[in-house]
Amino acid sequence: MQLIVNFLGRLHPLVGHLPIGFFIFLIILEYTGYWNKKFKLSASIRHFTLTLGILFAVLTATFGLLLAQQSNYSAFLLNQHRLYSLIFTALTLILYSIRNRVFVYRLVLVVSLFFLIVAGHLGARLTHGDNYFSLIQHQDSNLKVHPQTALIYSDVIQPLFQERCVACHGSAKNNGDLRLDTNEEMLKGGKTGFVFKAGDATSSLIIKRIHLSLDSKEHMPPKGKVQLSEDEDALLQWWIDIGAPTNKHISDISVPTYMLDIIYAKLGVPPTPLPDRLSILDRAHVLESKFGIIVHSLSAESPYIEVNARFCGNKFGDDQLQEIADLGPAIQVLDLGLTGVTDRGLVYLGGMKHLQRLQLDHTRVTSAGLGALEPLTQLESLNLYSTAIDDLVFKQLKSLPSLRHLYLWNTQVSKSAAKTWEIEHTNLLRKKHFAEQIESIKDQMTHEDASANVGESFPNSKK
Amino acid sequence: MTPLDFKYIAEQKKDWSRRTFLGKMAQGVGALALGSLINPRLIAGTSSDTWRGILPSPQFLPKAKRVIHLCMAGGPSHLDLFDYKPMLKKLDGQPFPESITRGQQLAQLQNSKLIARGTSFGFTRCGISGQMISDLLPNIQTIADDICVVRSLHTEQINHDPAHAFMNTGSNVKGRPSMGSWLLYGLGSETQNLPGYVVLMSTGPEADQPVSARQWSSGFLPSRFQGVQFQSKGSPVHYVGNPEGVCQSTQRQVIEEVQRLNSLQADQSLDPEVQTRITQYELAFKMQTSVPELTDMRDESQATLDLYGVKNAGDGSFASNCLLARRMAERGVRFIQLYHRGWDHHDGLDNKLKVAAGHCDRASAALIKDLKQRGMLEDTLVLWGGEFGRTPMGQGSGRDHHINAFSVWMAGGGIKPGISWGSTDELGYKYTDDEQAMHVHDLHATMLATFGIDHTKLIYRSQGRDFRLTDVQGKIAHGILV
Repeated sequence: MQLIVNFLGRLHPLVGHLPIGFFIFLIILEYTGYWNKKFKLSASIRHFTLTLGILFAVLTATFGLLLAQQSNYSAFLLNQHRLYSLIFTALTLILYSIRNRVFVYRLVLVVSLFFLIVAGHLGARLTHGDNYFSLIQHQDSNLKVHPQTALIYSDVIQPLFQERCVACHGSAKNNGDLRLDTNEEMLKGGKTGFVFKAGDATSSLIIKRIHLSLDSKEHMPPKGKVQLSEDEDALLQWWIDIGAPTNKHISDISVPTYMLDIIYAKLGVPPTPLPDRLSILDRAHVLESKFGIIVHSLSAESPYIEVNARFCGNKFGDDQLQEIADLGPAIQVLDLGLTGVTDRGLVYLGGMKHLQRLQLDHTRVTSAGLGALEPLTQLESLNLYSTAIDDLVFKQLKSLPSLRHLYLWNTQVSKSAAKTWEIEHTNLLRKKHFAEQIESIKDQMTHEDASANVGESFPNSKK
Repeated sequence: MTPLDFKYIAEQKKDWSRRTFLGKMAQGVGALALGSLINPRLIAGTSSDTWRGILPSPQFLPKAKRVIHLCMAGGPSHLDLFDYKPMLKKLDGQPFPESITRGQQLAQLQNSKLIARGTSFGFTRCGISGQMISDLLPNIQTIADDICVVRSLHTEQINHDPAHAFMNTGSNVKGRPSMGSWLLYGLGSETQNLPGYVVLMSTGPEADQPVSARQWSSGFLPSRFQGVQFQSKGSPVHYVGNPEGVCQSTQRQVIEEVQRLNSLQADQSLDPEVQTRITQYELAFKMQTSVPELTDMRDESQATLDLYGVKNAGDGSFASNCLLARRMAERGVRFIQLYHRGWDHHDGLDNKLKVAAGHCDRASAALIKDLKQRGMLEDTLVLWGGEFGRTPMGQGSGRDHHINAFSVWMAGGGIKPGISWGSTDELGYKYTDDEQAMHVHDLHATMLATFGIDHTKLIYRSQGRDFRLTDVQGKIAHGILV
């Protein structure tokens, strides 16, 4: 019996549209009939439409009362909705009794329309959540917050909850005793436990529910509601994995490139720091067929490219290097081994600020020319084997703070000079590494603080 | 012929032109199979015979660009080379604990009395990493800090041929593509002058293991991705020179005419094998100059030859092949597989191990050192190992095949140097079942990961089913990745 009652209750949002339709139709009929004699409304049609409308209004009210017993709607909204709806239903019954006194009838009809609209609107707020319309504005305004000042939780994660979850887990309706509309409520969790386990996305309840089969009753968002996109899913998992920080700025977290794209998209910011990855690849491919070089996009996660001229041999020289220099900032890996590049061409490398790996083996470069590499602060690996460089090379390499691999086999460089440089440079790296470690410890501490907070404030996990 | 037949043929023709169109658009059937992954570069249409891989770009940042697989065919004994087991030594000559072997699959030791066999060789802690490596491999001991020794590898096939197939293709079923073919399919090759996947066999008296050519087959992938075996001795590729009286320009004319006829056929039909034919003719023509250049090792210094222990360059020895492998790596070959076939030691283990180790130790270590000094170890992945291991139980004076645990090592290309991964029980019988356990599928997944490839995303549809190198398994050993 309870089952049937529950079922009928859930028909309320469906049936609810019918009285709205009939009464609006009735008003249209009355209006056109009033202004245009050709369409004058006959009493029998008025009677008929009115009867149908009332029938469904009463039905809707009944179902609504049944539904009110079984759902976790916000009490305030629900009371308002019930009040306005019942007044409207009562008005329709009055309408029926006065349908022959046309003037009064029309007056009451207009009044009842007001109650109908208010009741309908309140009902919609109950079903779709408070922010149903405000979200449209969000999507329209492109840039909500500047990425430099944006907070990972308030500006990225919370809006995601707003869009996908809060309609059922919010102030209007808190299914499963869960509310995701504020930070505090979210951390409290719901009937089945905490929302997430900081640092471990895969064992977090919210991720498990999202990943359940769409047919499962426990799958979230439920079948029929807008589902999380792959990006949104990845974003949520990433956020939980880094410890679910709630008060951090995006700029304070080391975000992998592909995640940055997703976050920027959420913020409405044009993605990668490089203006247009595709146009770079287009340009690269033109040069590719022109010189016979090979150009790869490094990975789907990275906006950078790799350029390999090794197989062109002497056909690739300084002039060709100059031509690829306009791709400069996009190049992360560059292989010029065996090419005809000389010291003159090295100046074009200066603009390749993101270069991490550079191969110059078997070229005619000399120690003097390598000064041009000074701006390459991200260079990690430099291959100079089988070139004419000598001990003077170390003077030029002083300013490469990220260098970790230097290949000098088969050159004029003396063992002793190489050893001295290695020791000096290792010390330098160590200092840098030490500083980085301190940074990362600081980072970890704030992470731990965040997750500790979660535990402390709510020590008793709800079962 | 009935009118219906005519209609059918007309339909077919329509279909053909659509196919031809699509084929031209996206370089053939492979791209069609993965319509969602269509590579913009292929559509943009660079030179029609260049295959740049089905993946528009790797899924993660790649570290490795090429593989050199030193395949120790026959099944080297992990217990005498990399897996130090003092307890087994203690049990030497005594009955092997039955609790371990009961109900287990055995190859030739079935129904015989199982006796534990400890190693006859010493082990030394090597380098800063302190990895235990057998004294049989004095040179590999010196590169301990450059390699990652995996001791928990296990496979599913206990006989040589299926076990090689499993190691190469991730399946014992015939007709699956080998890992080199998968890589070429996914990433293409860097060189247009040499095959992207080359196989070399060491020759010599010890070469007793037959290895079938289907181990480097491309299976259901188009055959342009299959491994090409070079002859180790004499001319590496038969008939690579022009016949007498034919000069290079005549040869070019012949090739061009054949290409023209073949492309007429390619326009008519969907068959990727025609496309393969065209690319192979072109490749063969280029190989007429690239192969002699590749195998002419006169430009290698004496120091380099000594490093590898090459007595006579090009003599087909393992050492000479290792040097050749480095030269191929330099020239952009994607996957290089070297077989040494002297590791199946059912009897006379101690002596035969010394011989096999003697062949391979120096050159293997030299390859790592040479790649390192050239800066190539950063993006070259070296894999050293066999298709399975050998039993901790003796078989007369040898050991039998063993699948529950064996050791391989990897170096370079995104692999952490100087670490050990995984372990076995006290007797070296079975891998320890922890997060460092590594099935062959896991090895494949990890190798693909060093290339930036998500092993679950490199897929080819054949006969109505999607296939991967790792089938439905494979977990990446993140712990050994840099």
